Amino acid sequence: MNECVLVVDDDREIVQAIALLLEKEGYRVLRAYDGMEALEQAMDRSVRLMIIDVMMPRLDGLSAVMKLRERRNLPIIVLSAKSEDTDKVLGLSMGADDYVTKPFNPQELVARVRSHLRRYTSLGDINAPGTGDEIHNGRLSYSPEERVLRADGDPVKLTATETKIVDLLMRNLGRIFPAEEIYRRVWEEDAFAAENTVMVHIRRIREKIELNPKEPEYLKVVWGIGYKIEKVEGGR
Amino acid sequence: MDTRSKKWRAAVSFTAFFLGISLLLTSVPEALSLLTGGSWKRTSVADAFQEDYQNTRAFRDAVASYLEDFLTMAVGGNANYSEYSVSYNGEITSAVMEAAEVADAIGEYGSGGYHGWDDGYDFSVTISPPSSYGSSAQAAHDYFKEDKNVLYDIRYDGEQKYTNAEGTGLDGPNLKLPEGYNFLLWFDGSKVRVVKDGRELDIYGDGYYREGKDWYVPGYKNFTVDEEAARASVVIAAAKSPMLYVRGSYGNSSAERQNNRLYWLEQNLKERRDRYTGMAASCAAGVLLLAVWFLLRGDKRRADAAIARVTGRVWYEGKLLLLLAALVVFLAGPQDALREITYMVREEYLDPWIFTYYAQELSRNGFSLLVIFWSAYLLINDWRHNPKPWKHSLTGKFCAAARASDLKLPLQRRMVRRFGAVLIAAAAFAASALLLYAGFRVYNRDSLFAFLLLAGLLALLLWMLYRFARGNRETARDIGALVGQIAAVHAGGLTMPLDLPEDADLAAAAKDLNDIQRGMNEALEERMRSERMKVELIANVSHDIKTPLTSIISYVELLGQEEELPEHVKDYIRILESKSQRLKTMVQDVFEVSKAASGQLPVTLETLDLGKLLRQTLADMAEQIGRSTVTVRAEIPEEPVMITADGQRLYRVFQNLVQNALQYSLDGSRVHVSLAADGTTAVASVKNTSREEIARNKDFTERFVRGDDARTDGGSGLGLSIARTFTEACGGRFSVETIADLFVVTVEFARQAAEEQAEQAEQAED
Repeated sequence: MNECVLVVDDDREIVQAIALLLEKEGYRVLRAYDGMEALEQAMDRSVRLMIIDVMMPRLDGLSAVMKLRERRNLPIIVLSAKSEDTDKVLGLSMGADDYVTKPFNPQELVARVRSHLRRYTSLGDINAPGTGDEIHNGRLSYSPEERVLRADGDPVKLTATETKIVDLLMRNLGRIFPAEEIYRRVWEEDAFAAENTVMVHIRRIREKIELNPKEPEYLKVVWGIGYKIEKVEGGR
Repeated sequence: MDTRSKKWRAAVSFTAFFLGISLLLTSVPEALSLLTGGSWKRTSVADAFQEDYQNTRAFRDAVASYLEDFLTMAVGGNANYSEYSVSYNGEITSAVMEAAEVADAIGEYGSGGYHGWDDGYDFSVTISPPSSYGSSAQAAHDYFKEDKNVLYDIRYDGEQKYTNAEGTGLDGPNLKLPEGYNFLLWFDGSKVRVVKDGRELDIYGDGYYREGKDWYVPGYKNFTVDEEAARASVVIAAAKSPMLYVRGSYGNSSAERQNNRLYWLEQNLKERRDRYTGMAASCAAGVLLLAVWFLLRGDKRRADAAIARVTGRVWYEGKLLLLLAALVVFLAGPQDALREITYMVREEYLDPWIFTYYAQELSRNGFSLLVIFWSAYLLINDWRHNPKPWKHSLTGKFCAAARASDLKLPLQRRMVRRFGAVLIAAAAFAASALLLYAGFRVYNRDSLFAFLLLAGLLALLLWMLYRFARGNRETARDIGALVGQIAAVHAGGLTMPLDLPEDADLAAAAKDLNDIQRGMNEALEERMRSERMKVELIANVSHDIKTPLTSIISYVELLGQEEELPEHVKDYIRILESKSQRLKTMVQDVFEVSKAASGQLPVTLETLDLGKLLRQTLADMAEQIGRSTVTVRAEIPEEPVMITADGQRLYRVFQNLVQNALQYSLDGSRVHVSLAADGTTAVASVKNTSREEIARNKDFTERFVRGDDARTDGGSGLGLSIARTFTEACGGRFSVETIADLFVVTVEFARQAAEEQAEQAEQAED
């Protein structure tokens, strides 16, 4: 593939580690160690994605993101040691596409890079097979007619029960379904030990669609109420 | 305008006001009493301004009375003349004395009534003592004859009886007057003829006598004389300008003043003329001065203010006393009238006339009126320009001093003392009532004085009771405020400091409480600040740890991807991996716990079903539970148990609790997760049997506290701490109980009311 990723962090070892991980996956990696450098390097047309740390000398990551956004439209993943919701919201509102907190899971980061690049490069491919009725939600898209769920454009292999659950939740994005209701609708019989059964399936679906199943972005448990697929803005 | 001229104008304005008011006050009441005194007085005012004294009523009355006396002398009856004295100022007394002396010397008192002269001059005539002197005609003649202002010739049956006009050429029938005399009255036995300045006057008019208007002489159709008098003829001449006649009678070691009635009459008229003129002048001057004041009235305000500054320093009682004294002096001034009134009151007969008289007498006391007016003026001026002038008073100072000494006593002494005063007053009242009753029983007589004393004591008692009640009410109110404040401070509300009046009984207590509250607030702020600093420190530290940790995790991952490594190195890498993951969790946990402990943890409260949350948690952890050696027994009711909490945080709570239970339970034992709910509360509990013996007296929710001190196993030691702080951040109660080796954790939440649940259900269905 040889797609080019720009990695920016003032900690050279971290840049090196990420570069190694990405190169193993077959990406070409450019390195930068502060915001100014990042802006220069990002002007290289071959750069398809940028991973950038927030706290850096000369020009901090968020400012660099803002400046870059004026000139280029490419996926940006922000890395930060700040893990609070307010920091995440701030980062995303500055123009970042994703926010990953340190210390991150290396596999997850690589998966995110892959996901963003796929969506960025094969934009047309995602919509191509669709008939127009598809439901798009972030990385996910669901075709009710075909009953196929795609993640980053790739069809996800689901069992019949899982497909039914996904069908219910994708058709009602953001709506919370209690376990009993999911059970009744999917199994079409009275709920019995619904919570356990539904939870097992939810966990399995997560393994297939989430980048980090332990911190799901889409299929979420609303504790004490039910389950839902989060409606994510910016679906491409 | 500069200050100097301002001062000047103020002084001028005030002086004009002062003089104007003073002049008017001294003259206007008299003038009013003259103007409202009826026709009689108006005539007398008119008389005073006559050029010729003979044109006055007083003169006519004098001549008429002379005629009366002379006729009496002519018929030889007892002349019933009454002495009058007319004078002005200091001479009144001497004239009266003289008359009395004369009468005494004569020593013969006639019988019959008296005829008093009243010249109608309310201010210049003193009615002579109401004694009448009956006197023989000769005595009367002796009395009258030396006063050459009046010449007379009295005849009876044509025979001359008495005269003092020998050799003067006075001739009645021919109406001839001697030199220096210009008035003549001739009574021929039936009628009177009067000649003045050679011209005869018409006396009778239409021939009928009317009181107060005509000459009081016989000859009218309704005023005739009897037969005896008809035989008499009298001629009277009056001097053009009366003189004072004095006759030395040194045998009696003094000079005798004669009757001199006409002389005094004329003098009187002159005096009155001057007086009236003066009155009018002072009225006019007063009005003029007031006009000046009116023009500069704005400037007078400044003068008033300046005066008020001075008077403000005088004790209030002084001003009141001055006013009161002036009032008393003024009202008690006309003692005769007052005596009369007292007498009338005693006789139970009040003639309204007396009040008119009293008012007239009052109006003559111009000076007292002035004093009253100006003291009242000062008092009112004081009110207008000084804020609360009555505060500056001797009584007030005394009370303040008493209060100040009172305030030095402790509260309980003060309360007792306050009641003591009431007690003393009550005792005094009761004692005097008893005494009065005893006196009544013994002497069978009630005394007004005792009654008044009793009434006074009762009033005093009531007043003391009122003060006592008021003091108690105030103290009760203050106690209420103090108790409320204590409750507020106890509740932790950062309320305003309690502000009681300086002299309140509980002022000291309130001040102490305020100090305590301030101290508490400061301590609380200090604590908050240090908590915040701690959180910041932890945030910084955790951030600093995160960066190297990122490298560690990343390179461990890279190491793990190496394939040609010996098996034991792969084991090492797995250990590194798991420990670095644990480190990651710990850093996160420490950060969150410190935030939650300082109240900075954001929570999103929503209504949720605690039972469902527990089931979800257990389902979520099903794998972990399956891998462990213990069994989880859940007793969770099917029906919803709605509470308000942050679901995500609460999930962490129960996750931690179940994890803890799985980790520390005895192999093969059971973990009980149960939920019980009554009307108001929902209680979830996790019970497990500990593998190790549980150490006593250990707070497991303290940070970094674990059942075993070795710290060799997994877990940050923050599990229970996180559970507790998260529970409390959501508004729940968290408690840990150990019974032997049984470890019980209870999480308690207030249950939502039934109707709210119904509402929530409805909304959920929409």
